Amino acid sequence: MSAVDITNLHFLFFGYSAAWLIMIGFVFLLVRRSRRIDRELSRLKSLVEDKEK
Amino acid sequence: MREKTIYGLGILGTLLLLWNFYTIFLVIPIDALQGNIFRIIFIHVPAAMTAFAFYGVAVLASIAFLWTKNFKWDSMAVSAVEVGTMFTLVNLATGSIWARVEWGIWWAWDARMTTQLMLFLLYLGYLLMRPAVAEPTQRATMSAILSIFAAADIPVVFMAIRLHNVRTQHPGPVLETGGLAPVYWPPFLIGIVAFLLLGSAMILVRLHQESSSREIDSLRRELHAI
Repeated sequence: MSAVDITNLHFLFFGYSAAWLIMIGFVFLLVRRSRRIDRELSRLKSLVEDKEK
Repeated sequence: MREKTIYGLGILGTLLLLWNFYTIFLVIPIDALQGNIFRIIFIHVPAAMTAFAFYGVAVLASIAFLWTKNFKWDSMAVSAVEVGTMFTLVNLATGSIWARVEWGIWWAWDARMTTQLMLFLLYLGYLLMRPAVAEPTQRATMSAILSIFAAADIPVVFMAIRLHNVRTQHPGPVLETGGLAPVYWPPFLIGIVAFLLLGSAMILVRLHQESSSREIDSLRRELHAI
């Protein structure tokens, strides 16, 4: 395999890694935001229940 | 039911993507001119097409919101824009890496690349603008107008390599001109389907988040009223 082919493969690896990193990073942000929203929702629900008692 | 749909779409999309990687790296032949870097097209182009599809969904949802003033359409629009912007970033990043190998530079300010970057920045602006507007109806109306305005760039991106009087560094169209060999079509199409499935799962998660956020707002108002 020539040096050009090896460079070619390196950049192919970088390209697919970048795509996966962006997608996995986005999913990670989605999961983190879901957890934060669920926590806030249950906190507010319990606060409303307490106030209504 | 909603969770099962999300997991179903996510798992199916991931499996298709993994199967596609097997085809891309181990089955299809190497391109005679470009070498191995050619294989990046199977993630670069499907990412752009998926982003366009989701921006299209956002435009329809934005029009529906302006028509009905129903906030479920605003939720649909913002969810689709967010996922579409992520796929546009994948498209820009992979394109830039391909350009570094083929052209020796990371970026060229030609018509196709500049209009695609503009599209990304317009929708990024949409996402950054939303938290800055506190009143929900005003926020949704402004977002809907911006979403429709930004989508006017999509035909420009599409036509940037098809107009004869526009000089561009970007490769010309290969899909409708028969420039893509038959052996490359299956991984190309499966890539689009896999991204659409994964993106749909992400949109469903975002829709649930938007509905929970609205519930949080109404609970806060209720707490103030008590």
